Amino acid sequence: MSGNRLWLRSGALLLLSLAAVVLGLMRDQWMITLVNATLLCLSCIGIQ
Amino acid sequence: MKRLFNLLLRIRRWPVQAVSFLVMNSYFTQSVTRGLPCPGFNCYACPAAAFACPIGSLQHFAIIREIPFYVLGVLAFVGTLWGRAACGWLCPFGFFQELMYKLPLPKWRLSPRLGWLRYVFLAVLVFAIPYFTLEPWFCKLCPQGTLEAGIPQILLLPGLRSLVGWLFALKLVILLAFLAWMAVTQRPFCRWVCPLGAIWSPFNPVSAVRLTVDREACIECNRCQQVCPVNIRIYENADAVECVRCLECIRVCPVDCIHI
Repeated sequence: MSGNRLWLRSGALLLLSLAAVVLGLMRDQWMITLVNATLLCLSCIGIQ
Repeated sequence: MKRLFNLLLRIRRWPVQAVSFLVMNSYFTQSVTRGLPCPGFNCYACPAAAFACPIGSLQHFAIIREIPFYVLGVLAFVGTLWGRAACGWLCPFGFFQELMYKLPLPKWRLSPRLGWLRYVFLAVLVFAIPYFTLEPWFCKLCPQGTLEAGIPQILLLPGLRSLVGWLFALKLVILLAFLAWMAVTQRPFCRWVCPLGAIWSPFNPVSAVRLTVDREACIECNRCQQVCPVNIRIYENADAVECVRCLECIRVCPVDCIHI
């Protein structure tokens, strides 16, 4: 596969991943992740 | 990007891994950065964790039954840029496994067969079981969680000690088993268990930064395999999904046939 086509593929994937991040941010998923990561996760610690 | 990797070739890997461990557990930036999934396996229940664990976050989205566009987008962005290089250069648990392997004990060089188990752990423990049981079961069993969060939290918060039960004992057994395995085999968690590695593996053949091997120049001396932390022959497949892009093979190649 030529170098240009490889770069095109990587570029398209980068754009797709950025689109997913933007879509997630529009759905407040950054805040959901922040709250989830900030709460003391008892299951991670192994407490039932 | 190629310039960055050429720069990485000139420096040793362990200081980068050590700095990455410190940054991911830098504590004081928690209020700003904890909403960002870190490019590595680092438990967010660790008292000092500065970022969110991507695998913990994915399970959380499975539990609330929402498609994790944000987390998957961040992981896909990192994977598209440099494949599994974060496993080799940034992941704190990968670094820990490499340190454990330095212990002077007999070593087993296991082949990368059964590497597909990573995808099973990803599908079953990270997506399916949390989706149906509403419990993050990978976190409940994760050895990195026990090491970074379980043991420190129990030590720091006496109030939690009375809540400890069979699950904590099971976590300790899993951690001890992995510690023993890490001391005799290179990166066993990365090679057969890590769901984050499973997510990044398919990006190796399509990432912006890839390795190439000049097959005509290669003399198949296998020095690359001897230093490879995941025990692969990079000259057989430069885009191998097991490759963690540590670049050790490039450093040792006597005929300089591996390139970025």
